[in-house]
Amino acid sequence: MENIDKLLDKYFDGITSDEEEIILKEYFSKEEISPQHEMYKPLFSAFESEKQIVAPKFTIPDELNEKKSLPKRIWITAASVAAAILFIVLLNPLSKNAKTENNYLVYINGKEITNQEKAQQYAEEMFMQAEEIIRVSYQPFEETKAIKAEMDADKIFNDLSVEINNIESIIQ
Amino acid sequence: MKKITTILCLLFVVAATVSAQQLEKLFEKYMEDERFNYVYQKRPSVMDRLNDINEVYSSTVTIYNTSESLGRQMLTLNSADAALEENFSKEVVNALKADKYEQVSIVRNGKNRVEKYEKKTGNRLSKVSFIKNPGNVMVSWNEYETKKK
Repeated sequence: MENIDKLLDKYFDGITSDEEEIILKEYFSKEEISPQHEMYKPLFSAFESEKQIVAPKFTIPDELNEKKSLPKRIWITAASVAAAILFIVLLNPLSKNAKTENNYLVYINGKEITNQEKAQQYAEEMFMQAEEIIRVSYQPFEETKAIKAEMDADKIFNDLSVEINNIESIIQ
Repeated sequence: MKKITTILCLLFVVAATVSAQQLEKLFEKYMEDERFNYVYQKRPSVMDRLNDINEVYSSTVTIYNTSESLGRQMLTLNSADAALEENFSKEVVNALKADKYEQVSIVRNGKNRVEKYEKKTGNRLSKVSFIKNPGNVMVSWNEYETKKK
């Protein structure tokens, strides 16, 4: 018992050896100890529980690991960029022609007209030909529309009523 | 799971885009074909644009203050082969249907037949004239960027 008291004094002075600390811990781990030492028991049991605290093992989840994997991130980025470019290129209906620097692109019977002046002549002639066909085809339709616009029913009825009034006044 | 979702989304976007451009595919398919003539004009001249402006104003789409041509192109089949004409005509109609063009008019004048189609996507207006004459089929495709009044 006296030995424990001496060890305690040395412990609080901070001069105990490892072996002496083991003796103290073993003593205070017992269920029954001297009543005068009861007050120190929580201290040593706290040390005991402190000893049992183990730093948690830090493991990176697989999913997070994958995100940090540089090649995969590059792959995903590259795929996204490629898809975006493909989307833009395909979305533009005139994309193929937009690639050409020239104002005109003409193929006659499968052969490209590389001379821009000639290409322009061909293009204008062909567009004009199509426009003429459309104009001629729609001419009767346009004429009908024009006649309809001129046929204002209110105006016709007003004119008629004026005529009738004139005739009536003459008769009277 | 995230990767699969991303890939599926990308595939969906690409598939939707590809399927929506059948007319462009048709032009690309035949532009260099020796049985066809193909013309493309990037920026129509002012005189050409006068006709275009009237066209845009008289279209079924809302009236626009102004429009800018994004280019026009035309594919012409000159052939005495009636079967080829018929097949090409079917391809054109199918492409227009696949691209969800709306037919706005059909006019017959003698042996000429002109069909007009339109499609509006965002501020882009696409107008297609499909002309069928005996021994001659033309598809004219005009693109405009419209600005609402």
